[in-house]
Amino acid sequence: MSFKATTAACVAAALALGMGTTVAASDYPSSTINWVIPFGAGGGSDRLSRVFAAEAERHFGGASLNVENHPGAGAVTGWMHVLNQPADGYTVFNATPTPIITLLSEEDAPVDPGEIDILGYLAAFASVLVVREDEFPDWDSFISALNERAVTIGGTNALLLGAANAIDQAGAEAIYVPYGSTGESVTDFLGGHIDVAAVTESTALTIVPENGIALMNTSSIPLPDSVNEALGNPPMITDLGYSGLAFPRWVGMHPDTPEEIKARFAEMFEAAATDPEIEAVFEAAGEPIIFLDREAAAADYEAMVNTMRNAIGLLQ
Amino acid sequence: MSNWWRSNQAIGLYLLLIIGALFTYILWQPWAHRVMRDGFLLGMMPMMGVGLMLLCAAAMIMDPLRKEQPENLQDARTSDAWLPIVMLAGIGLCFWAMSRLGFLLASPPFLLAFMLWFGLRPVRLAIILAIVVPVVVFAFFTLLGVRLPQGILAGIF
Amino acid sequence: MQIDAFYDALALVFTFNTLFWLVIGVFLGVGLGAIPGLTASTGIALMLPLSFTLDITGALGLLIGLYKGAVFGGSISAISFATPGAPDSAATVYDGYKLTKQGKGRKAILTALYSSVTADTASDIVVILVAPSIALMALQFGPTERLWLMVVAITLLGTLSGRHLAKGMLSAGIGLFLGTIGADPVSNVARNTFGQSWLRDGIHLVPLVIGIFAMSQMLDQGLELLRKTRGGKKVEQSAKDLFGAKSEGLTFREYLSCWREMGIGIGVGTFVGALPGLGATVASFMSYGIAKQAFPEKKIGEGSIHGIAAAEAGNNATVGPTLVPLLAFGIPGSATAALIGAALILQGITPSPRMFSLHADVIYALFIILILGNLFNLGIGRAFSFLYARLGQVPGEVLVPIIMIMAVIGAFAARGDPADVYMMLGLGFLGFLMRRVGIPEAPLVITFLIAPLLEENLRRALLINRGDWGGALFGSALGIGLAGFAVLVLLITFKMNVGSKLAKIGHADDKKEG
Repeated sequence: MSFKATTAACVAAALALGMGTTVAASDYPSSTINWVIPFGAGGGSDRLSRVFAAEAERHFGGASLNVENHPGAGAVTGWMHVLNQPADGYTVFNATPTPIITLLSEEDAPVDPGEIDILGYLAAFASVLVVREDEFPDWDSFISALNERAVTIGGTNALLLGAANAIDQAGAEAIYVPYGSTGESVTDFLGGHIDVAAVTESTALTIVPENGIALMNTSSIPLPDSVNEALGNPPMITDLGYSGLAFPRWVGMHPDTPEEIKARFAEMFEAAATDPEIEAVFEAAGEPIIFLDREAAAADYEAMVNTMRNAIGLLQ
Repeated sequence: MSNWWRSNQAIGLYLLLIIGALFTYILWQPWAHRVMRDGFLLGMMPMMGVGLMLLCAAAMIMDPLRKEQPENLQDARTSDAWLPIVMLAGIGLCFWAMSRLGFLLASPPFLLAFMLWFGLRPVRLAIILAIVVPVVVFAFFTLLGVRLPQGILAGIF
Repeated sequence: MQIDAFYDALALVFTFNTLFWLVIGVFLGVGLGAIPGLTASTGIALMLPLSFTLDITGALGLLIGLYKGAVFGGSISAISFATPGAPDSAATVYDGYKLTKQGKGRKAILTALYSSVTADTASDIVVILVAPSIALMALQFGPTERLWLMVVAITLLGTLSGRHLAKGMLSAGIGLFLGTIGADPVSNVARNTFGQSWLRDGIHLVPLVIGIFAMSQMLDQGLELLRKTRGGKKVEQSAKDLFGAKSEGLTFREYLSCWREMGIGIGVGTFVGALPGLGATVASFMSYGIAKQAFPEKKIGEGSIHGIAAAEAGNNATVGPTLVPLLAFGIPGSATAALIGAALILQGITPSPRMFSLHADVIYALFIILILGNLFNLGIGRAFSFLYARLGQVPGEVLVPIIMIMAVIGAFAARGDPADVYMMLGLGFLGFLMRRVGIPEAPLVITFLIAPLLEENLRRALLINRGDWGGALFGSALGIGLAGFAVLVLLITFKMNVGSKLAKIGHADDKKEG
């Protein structure tokens, strides 16, 4: 940090201390924004957050974005941390469905998944069902097979939720085999130990077309065209009139944050996420930005929580 | 038999009581009896672990080595139990301070106190080391890209 | 083999840039690896941003060098201070630290270095020659087969239990219990968390190993120091004067005498490394256990270079093979492989089967870097051993508090979760008590690692076989074969170990009573 920025930060901190939390929205942001992620350093979320923080600073009025790791308790520790910080817009929560799944799995969860204000999606990965073409050439044959025999679907817990949600709506049942990591589930799919692999689109790209086809995209949000094409344009579950389940990298704030600050942040966040330069960096990292603005993201989030609540029951 | 309390048999008995209490606790928990979708009890594996411990503790009371005393326990004194606890409390306190004051402020007092406690003399050497070592460690970790807690010094770096 | 691509690869690798970053990588790796809590994957994660700014061979040199260096580096502190730098060198502590106490620390570190480099090179060659076949073999390993592999690992517990079987199994029970804390693998529901939400992610391996091995040892040494200060029992100061220039090195004959242990390490490590989800810690403990079982006359566990050779060959032999699933199918088999995959993606190369045809030069460059990295590891590892040897001369009054602080940082740095530090301290006390009453630590670590994997795979196999135990356990020829092997190992263990143990005990009883 340069001396100037340091001084500015010190002055800002002193002012903030002096004035309590009544920070005017007009000069937001005037100091460092803490970008909280509920995962440890080194994981996928950490990597993308750091890339974003480094690239996006210029869209946040010169305020620096400081990535803070608060892992633990099924990614709920970070959420609790955010709720314990002042609701002044200087603490942002950037998470995935992991903490939501934890909260919905608990009988007495410490917070409700609604205790956050969603301000946008930075990405939304899909649970894509990958199968061997000779076994299940299309969705209809897949569903009829499900009704005749027990079909095994493997994947990580989150991705199985997407699969279970889709299959449940089609009125069918399957055997969901949970895996700790995508590596293990894909190995078992390639080895023929399970019938279907529920994977993200980026993993699906490594399997399709040599070792399988993308049978169905169970997400609520379409994939980028280039990805869709490479996967052989799989149908979307929403085309069938069912609800889909996307796995967003969402960004939110303490619910008590003043509205002007939330609006201001959402604006700056949108500017950063739709900046072609930043988009190109994410594209190169193999995780293209799939941006949803505040309104669309909040609506999808609410639907996602409800859908998950039901789907989690199927997997317990 | 004055030293019976140090024998394997006695240790087995203490363990049996502690582990038995743990087993009863788990048995009383409602979650332990919840059936998962694959038919397994949620508490099955934990109970297997405690069960195995219980079995081994019982075996220690009865097996051929029961009369033997563990080597490290033969000259043990009561201070062997509380001194490590004091050490751990000191380390815990140091970490607690670290997360508030930062690594650079919390570790010198800890290092100084422990070095003197362990018998390092002269005092001057202990003071110098307690200041130099944290600075070197901090610099090294910063160079590697690991951010140690900065605490109230955060503004300076 | 595409000769043109191979020449291109040579031109890519033998540049100042690539070699420079390879040296930096190995250097950082050994340095980081020797610090408790900073493992290979932490190191790679830290260097990932830097690797983005390098060209492809520079980035691969940095990351692979770091990986190799870090897996070896863990053994240095395991041997010098009984503080494993990473979980995968925990098995090295037994023989390594005993040798240090006997004044043969230098010999121990050199054994670790040479067996690491030998096994690493051998497994790299295997990877280069038969990567696709290993990958195909790994595919045969479904839940049923993995389940039996875990059972084989569990049967080695008997050998790691020491002379008192009940205590060894008690330790295994503790590990099993600690391993079940967290989320149920099938339903993701919290279990055994005592109502504490911070336990939901379970106990992490790094704080566990630091606590049980390092912190407990430091508590012991702290006590010894206090006794000495109070003018009580005189304790020999072992750390001093051990690493003087005159201390014993390793002869070529001694190195060669470890060939069987290294062979076991290479075999176990190569295979375990190629299977997703197991990793270097499992490999080193398995290799150590098998060697101990197979050669009782070598007194592994009582300060034998053969034990170090087995453990260190086992963990370093996983380095190359971890990349096999990544290269063959684009599936990262471990966290470290995932990070190397991420680096490749950022360089515009998506790991997949197509990589061999699309980017043959990069694949060959990777192979050359794998082999070259071992040479650098040998040189830099030697230099570091001597540096640490100097640190070993620091008196305990200074060293013990510093290692305590490092243990705290290490437990915290692994995940950044403060709960891990308190957990590590608690486990340190547990380890201290276990040592006092003569309960061995190895079975605890083994079951802590293996039991959750065993449970996961068993329940997966049952799900896949619709709850049919017969199908889940004996559904494939490979599964039956592995089951037979497990029974064989168990029989041998029972015959050799328990038989001789009982005989010894009977003897002791006779004497006491007689």
